[in-house]
Amino acid sequence: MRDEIVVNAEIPTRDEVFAGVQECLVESLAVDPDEVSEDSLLVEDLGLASIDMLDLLFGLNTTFGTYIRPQEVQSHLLGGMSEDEFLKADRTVSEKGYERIAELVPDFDRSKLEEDLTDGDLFQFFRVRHVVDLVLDKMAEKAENA
Amino acid sequence: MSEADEKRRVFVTGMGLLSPIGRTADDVWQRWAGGRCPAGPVKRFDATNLPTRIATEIPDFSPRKELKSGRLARLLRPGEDFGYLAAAAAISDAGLDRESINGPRSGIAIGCRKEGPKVENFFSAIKASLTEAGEMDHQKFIDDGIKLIPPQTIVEGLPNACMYYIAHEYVLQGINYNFLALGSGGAMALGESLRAIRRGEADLMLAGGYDSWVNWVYLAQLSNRRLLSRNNDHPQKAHRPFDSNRDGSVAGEGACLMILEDADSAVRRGASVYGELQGYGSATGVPHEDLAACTRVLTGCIRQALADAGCGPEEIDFVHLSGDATPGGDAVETRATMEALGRHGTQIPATTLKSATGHLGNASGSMELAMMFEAMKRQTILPIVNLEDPDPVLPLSFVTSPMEGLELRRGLLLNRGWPSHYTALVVGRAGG
Amino acid sequence: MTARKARRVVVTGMSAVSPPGNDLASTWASVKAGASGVRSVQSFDATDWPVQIAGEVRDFRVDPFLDESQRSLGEILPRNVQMGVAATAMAAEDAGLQPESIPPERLGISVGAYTTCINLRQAAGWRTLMVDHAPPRYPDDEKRIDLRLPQVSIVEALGDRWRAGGPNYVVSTACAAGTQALGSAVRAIEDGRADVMISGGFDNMVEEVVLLSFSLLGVMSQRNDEPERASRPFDRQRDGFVISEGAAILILEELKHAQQRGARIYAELTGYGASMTTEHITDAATDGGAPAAAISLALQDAGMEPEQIQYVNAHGTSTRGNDKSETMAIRKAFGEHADRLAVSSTKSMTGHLIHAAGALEAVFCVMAIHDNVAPPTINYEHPDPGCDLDYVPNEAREMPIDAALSNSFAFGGNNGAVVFRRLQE
Repeated sequence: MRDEIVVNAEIPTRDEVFAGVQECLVESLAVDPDEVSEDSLLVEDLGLASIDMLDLLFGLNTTFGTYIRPQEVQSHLLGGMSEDEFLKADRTVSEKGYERIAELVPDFDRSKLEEDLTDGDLFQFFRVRHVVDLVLDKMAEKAENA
Repeated sequence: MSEADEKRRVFVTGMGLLSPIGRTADDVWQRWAGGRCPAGPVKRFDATNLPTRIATEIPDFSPRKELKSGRLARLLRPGEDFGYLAAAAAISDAGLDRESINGPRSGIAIGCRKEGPKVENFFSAIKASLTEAGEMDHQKFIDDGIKLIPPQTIVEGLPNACMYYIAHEYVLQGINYNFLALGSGGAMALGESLRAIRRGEADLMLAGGYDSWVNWVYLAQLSNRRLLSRNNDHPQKAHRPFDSNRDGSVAGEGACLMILEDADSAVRRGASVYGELQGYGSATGVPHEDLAACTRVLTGCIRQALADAGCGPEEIDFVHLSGDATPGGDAVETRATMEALGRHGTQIPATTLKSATGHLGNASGSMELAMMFEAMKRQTILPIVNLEDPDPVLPLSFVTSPMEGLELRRGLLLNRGWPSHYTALVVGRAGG
Repeated sequence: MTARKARRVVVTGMSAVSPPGNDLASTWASVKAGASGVRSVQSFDATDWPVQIAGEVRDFRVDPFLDESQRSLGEILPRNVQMGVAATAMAAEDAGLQPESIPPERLGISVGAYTTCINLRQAAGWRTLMVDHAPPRYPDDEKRIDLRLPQVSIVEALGDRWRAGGPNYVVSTACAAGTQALGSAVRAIEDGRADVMISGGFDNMVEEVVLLSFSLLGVMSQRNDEPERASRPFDRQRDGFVISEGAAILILEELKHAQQRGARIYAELTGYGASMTTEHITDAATDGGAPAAAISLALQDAGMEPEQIQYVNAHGTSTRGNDKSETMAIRKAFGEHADRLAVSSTKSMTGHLIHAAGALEAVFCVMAIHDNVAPPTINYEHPDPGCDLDYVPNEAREMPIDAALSNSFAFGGNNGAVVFRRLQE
């Protein structure tokens, strides 16, 4: 019966974080370790459903002793942009939002969309690399506070 | 019932099961024939301080390995994992797959017991919020505790979670039933599925039960209510249905799910047929501790099943009893059988699988039905394990040694769930 | 199944125990007046929790509803069953139901319910038992913990009291359970296996561990400062559902049985349909397909055309996903008639009673027919382009209602719909 969490005070290297993230993904999504690379898309390549995101964060928080909330994943993806800037009133993506998506996905082609993207679609562009970045950010933040 | 209803017959065309004595109908039959109950001291947890410390467990079960999904292994509670695997086996046994199933015309009916998520999910959070004096601190709980609760706790705790995973996997999009019960769920799910197909609400149903009573809390609760035997020194001899020295069931675990199909569609697709579900009755003993009242109710329930099957008592060739080995439970069902079937009922062979497997909870009804199909296929009835000194006041012809070369066309299955849920099913052999 | 049914089912008694009122009259009066029962949580300290609001039943006591012989049971029954006991007693009285006049096997029970959750104090107790003290010992004060299982307490508290020896279903399909319990009850009567069924649901998910667990999923409203405005189905600014508790029971009876004993008949339950959304365990159906199938099956079972329905009591949870998906489902099932329907979500006032939700909303459908009034969707302030039906915004509407339909869609994919109609000869 696990009653303890592992807390590591040192800031790990990017490779160490990737290894931890990989382990969490294997556990949460039941994928093989060699399917997971920094470039993998969480939704398309690894089959992440919205509810798995919570599991993934829980795994990360337990592994790295961080506290990443679901909202923070979105704000990380938005690169500091607020939700009101990213979305229009009808909750479809704004012009500024599409600019951010183009930053995330270099080969993104908006003309191929059949209909406007909405808030829920953002996670389609989420890669393992972003998870690693997020964990590193949080670890650095935590080290600063300590 | 209109005439149109009567035209739809319901065949069983597939089954999948897991039990402490095997994972195919043939295995279970062979081990039953071996005549020994596999009960032993509980292996899964420390039961030392409980009044009942024995159980029948499914050996060598690793959810992670067998489910092939870390996510499911984590989210399914014990018992649900058996159900998920039994569903896969039943679908494949029926020669079906997710492509060939007509989703909207295919339903699912499940009997199970569930009590929310694992209580352990909250232990880390509680520990993080304890003061030095060991009291829970509200602020510490908010600051340090809440984030330690696994986020899928509510999903894990959904009563219908396993049913969803099965329906999702095999695209069962039609009518659905999820009954909470303490032993009667699987039999009820089968009966309600029979009615649903007859009414034309579905052409195919995946139906049955899954359960695990090998759990510290359940063992404590059920033993407390005197439903489990306390014969800890002789585990294999503990479950003794209809015996003068009976004192309750041995807690077990398992799953048995069946594919029920509208007979015409089953024949059209060339499905192999185990047998036919012909009649269903269900009732509740009230007041639940009044054995005479329970007997009256169960008698009516059996008559209802016979009427539903359109057959008379003399057309029943054998009885499969519930045999939970509680003093009252065994008395009620044997008397009710005599009342409902008359003298004929006391002469036909009466058996039960239960003491060969332990009480499989909500899986018992469907598991025992599977064994009735085996009996009709082999024209053989196996004896009641551990019945050494039949209680003289119980009026039926209990089977104490194998009976072969019989003519078994139709049988009656009785099922009791605690405290007093009764189900009766009339089943016929394949080919009429 | 459009042929007229040989055995028809009518509603002869009803009750409600809910956040807006402790009986049917007060609940219905509040709901017609657009009054919310949602408040800050009072039964435990939820200060600073992510979600601090809920719909609680206030000043509830079970004693007046218990038989003399059941007094000792009363205090140890879990709260959900207590509310179920009260609701059953009130519904039976409303129906003039006398158990001695019905053979036990002709009276059954079919209710939506689930095992009562343990609270944090109990969880802490179990932790002490299971982690700190090995081997664990069963605590003496939890001897009747089996009453937490509705399959046990329903027989002991309801079955014995009302001599209900017929079919007994504990339907546990989360948010669809109340509606599906009615479905099983109707079929039992139609098939001739019972003449009267006590049917509905009860739940008390306003429990610490439930509130926390649901809030971790991010599906509950966090409008903690304005409890009464938190549940806002179909409103663009909706941010999740509000959990609540309560019970509702309908006495369902075979038509001739009811007529022979001269019972008052509120309405006929003419149709039931169910389906399963198999796409995702907690998200609503993306195209509304499976929920629409449940609606269409219910109409077909009732032998009715979409045009014959005037009022729909929506599942309307106030989550982003459900309300949009349900709007699509209603459009799909009702076609052009969808624009002429009055559709409201009474969850805007009651919150979400989970296993009891469908039962309470069925009661509202019957009352809507009885009084020719569609209850409102309150807190409807900002139209959402994805939700474009007539939601009876903010004020009840007097209108002729001969037939109404109630929807329920569950976490876990189960969908159910029931149709009620003013009794036609």
